[in-house]
Amino acid sequence: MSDSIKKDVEEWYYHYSNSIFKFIFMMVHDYQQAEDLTHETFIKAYKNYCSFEGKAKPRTWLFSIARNITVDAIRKHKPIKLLKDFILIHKDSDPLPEDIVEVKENSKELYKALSSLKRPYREVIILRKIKGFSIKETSDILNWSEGKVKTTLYRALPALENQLVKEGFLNGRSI
Amino acid sequence: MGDQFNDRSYFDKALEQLDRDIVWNQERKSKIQSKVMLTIDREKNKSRLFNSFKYMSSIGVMIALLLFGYNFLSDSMIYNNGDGTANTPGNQTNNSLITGEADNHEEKNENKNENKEIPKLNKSQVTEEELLKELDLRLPAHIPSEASNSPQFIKLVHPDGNVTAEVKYVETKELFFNYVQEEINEDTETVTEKIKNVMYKDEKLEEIEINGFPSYLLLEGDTSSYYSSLHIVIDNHFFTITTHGIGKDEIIKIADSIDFTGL
Repeated sequence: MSDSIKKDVEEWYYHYSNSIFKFIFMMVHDYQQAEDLTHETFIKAYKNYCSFEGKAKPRTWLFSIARNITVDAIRKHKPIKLLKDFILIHKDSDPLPEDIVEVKENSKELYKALSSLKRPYREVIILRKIKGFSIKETSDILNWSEGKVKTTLYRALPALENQLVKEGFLNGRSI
Repeated sequence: MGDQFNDRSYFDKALEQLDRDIVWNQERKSKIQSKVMLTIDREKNKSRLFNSFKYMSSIGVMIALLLFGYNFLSDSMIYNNGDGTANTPGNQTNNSLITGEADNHEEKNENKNENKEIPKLNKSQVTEEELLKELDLRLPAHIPSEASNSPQFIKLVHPDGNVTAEVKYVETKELFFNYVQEEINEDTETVTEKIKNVMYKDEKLEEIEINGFPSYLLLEGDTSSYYSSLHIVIDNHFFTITTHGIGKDEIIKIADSIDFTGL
């Protein structure tokens, strides 16, 4: 039994680990933490396999695990993380180690603007627009009502636009 | 109404492209995969061990009960054959107590096993004395009574040689109290500027003074933050108290009890 669970988790890892890593990375902006949380996501999926009833797609279920783990980590480490970021003097000049994770030049501005948004906006944009989940799937992952997903996204997109304008990456075009 | 929440935007393509433009090294991906599989194997072994342990314990308890039952019956027969006093309620109570003890024992072993599943080894964990050698550590004299049991001391050395001391007093769901003292290379003005405009640019910070030093308080519940944070800035030192489940007055009392003299 546990061998077949292991096999399923291995298959899920093959299919979804990239996507889950990127989701977490866009949430925490720390590749090491993103790797740790990706690892934790699949271990939690293994441990809670019996609660996966097959009602949702494995991808949606895995993303809901990843999201919960990430939010917990952000909550728990926010003060410490802020402190570390703040204290590390060379942080701004210290680029991502590109041999591990790379954000290509074309998308750096958008990545930066997205990072500046508040968490709920970031989550809904990543899940709906970047990961392409439906409203229903997004509401399942975030544990929000479908209405909340729609209204939050409705507010999040202009916020992203404003951020891009504010940072000088956009000249006030409208959505 | 349908159009009210039309979420199409001209960012759509750029956002999809962003996903493609974040590239995770495939070797790292494989490395994490191996780690996942290894952890799963360990979990499996643990669960096997735990099951065999439970099985062995059950057999042990059964044998103990049988032996006890045998002795108990033999004693009863001797009593019955002698002065005729049969089982007393006391005997029965003892019997159930012993069974209970066995259950408790088993429960304790289960708990032990559960605890083993979460090894909390931290390589940078040190003693208070070791930290004191590295840093002019100033700890709060006042600690909430619920958090006063053996704190964990953690030392972090930054690439520039600066040392951070982290003291974990308590970490439960209801109560969290963490204390950090950091050596920094920046002056008070730069640091306060960064706190207000970088660390908490979108949050409502309360500016207060702790022992005459500029301090910034963010309370849980005031914002979306789950934790309260109090930062105290002194030239070349930065202090942070992070809590959950502790009120504002108590946080300030903790901070007030730190002796900053001579820093």
